[in-house]
Amino acid sequence: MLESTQFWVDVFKIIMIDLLLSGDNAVVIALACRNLPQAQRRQGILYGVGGAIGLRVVLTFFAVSLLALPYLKVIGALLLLWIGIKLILPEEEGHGEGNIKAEANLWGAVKTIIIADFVMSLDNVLGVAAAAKGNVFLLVFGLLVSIPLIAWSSQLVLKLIDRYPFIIHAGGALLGYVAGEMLVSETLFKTLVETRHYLHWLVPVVCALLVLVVARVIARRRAGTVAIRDLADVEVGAESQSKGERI
Amino acid sequence: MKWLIPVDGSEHSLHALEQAITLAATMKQAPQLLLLNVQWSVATVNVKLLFDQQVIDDYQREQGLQALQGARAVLDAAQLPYQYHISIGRPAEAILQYAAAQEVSLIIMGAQGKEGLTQWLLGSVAERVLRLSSAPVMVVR
Repeated sequence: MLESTQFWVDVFKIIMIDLLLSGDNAVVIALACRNLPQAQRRQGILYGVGGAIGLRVVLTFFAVSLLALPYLKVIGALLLLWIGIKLILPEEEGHGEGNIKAEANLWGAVKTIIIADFVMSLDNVLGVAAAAKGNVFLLVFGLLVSIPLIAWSSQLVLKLIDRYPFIIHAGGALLGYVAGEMLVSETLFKTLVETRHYLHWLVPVVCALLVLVVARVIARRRAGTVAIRDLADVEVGAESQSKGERI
Repeated sequence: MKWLIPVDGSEHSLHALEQAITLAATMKQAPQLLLLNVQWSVATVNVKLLFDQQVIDDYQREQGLQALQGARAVLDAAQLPYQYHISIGRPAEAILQYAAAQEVSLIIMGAQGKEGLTQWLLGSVAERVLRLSSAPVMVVR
């Protein structure tokens, strides 16, 4: 298994999906633990990361068993296409409107992190489940890769995307491709695909292109760049200074 | 006369600040020292969905103040007046924008920041400022 090219391609896909879809996890954890007293902050982060990982294991398990049911692969594939499109779309201007407060007690913060992770990890779990194609080893690998990203991911991914925007297009296309693979493996289409073997690559490629085209069409309607904002502007010690002193 | 010293909390930026202080002491008229820290925006779609802007801003301001801490301590110890400013955005662009808005006469910055891997992948902020700035730039090694 380790020697086959296909295996390494799948590993690469999973790492890409993990990277692109869990970049902001660490920020959310830091935000949720902000108001904890210093001593509890470390604990809060630790429990939060632990809870988030546990939740991911459970969600992945669910995703895999759900995807085994008929029709659900079609729904999963459509969701993945949308996730891919959303990944490419430029962020809409606007302020944060979430109502999660930075909690001042440990369990409140942990709860916040887990709720947040539930919202944020769905796309990641679905992406990894699709790319793993039922291979348990790849699933576990995908989970393992996402753990350090949840715990420590710096803003490196965000910065890289900003500098090399094609990364995000590649990621969107990859999600489309994976969605296509999922579609082809749906049991409903089994007879159809078996007789026309070229569908195995044609459908994924078409799905990847679809993501790029749709994202492009939508993006054109909302252009705009992210503005630079000011957070603090303070003058220090101007009046308390005796000017002659330093000349 | 205004001198802008971008600060990211690294040794290099402190070194640049020390150079600026030394240089300032030789000037007939003491320049106004402006410190600037730029934070990358962390407000992704998910983060905005979950948190209030106030919480996000407070967090980033705290990070900014942390980065400025060393430089402020140096200036306080030298008993020099200064202004500090925290912006959110891309570092080089934010530095250039602030420099233009304040009409600074000189930008003094470290040749490299603190982030090894990021810098290796992205190139240095100093390089970009040097290339695009209309104000004179002094890069300290």
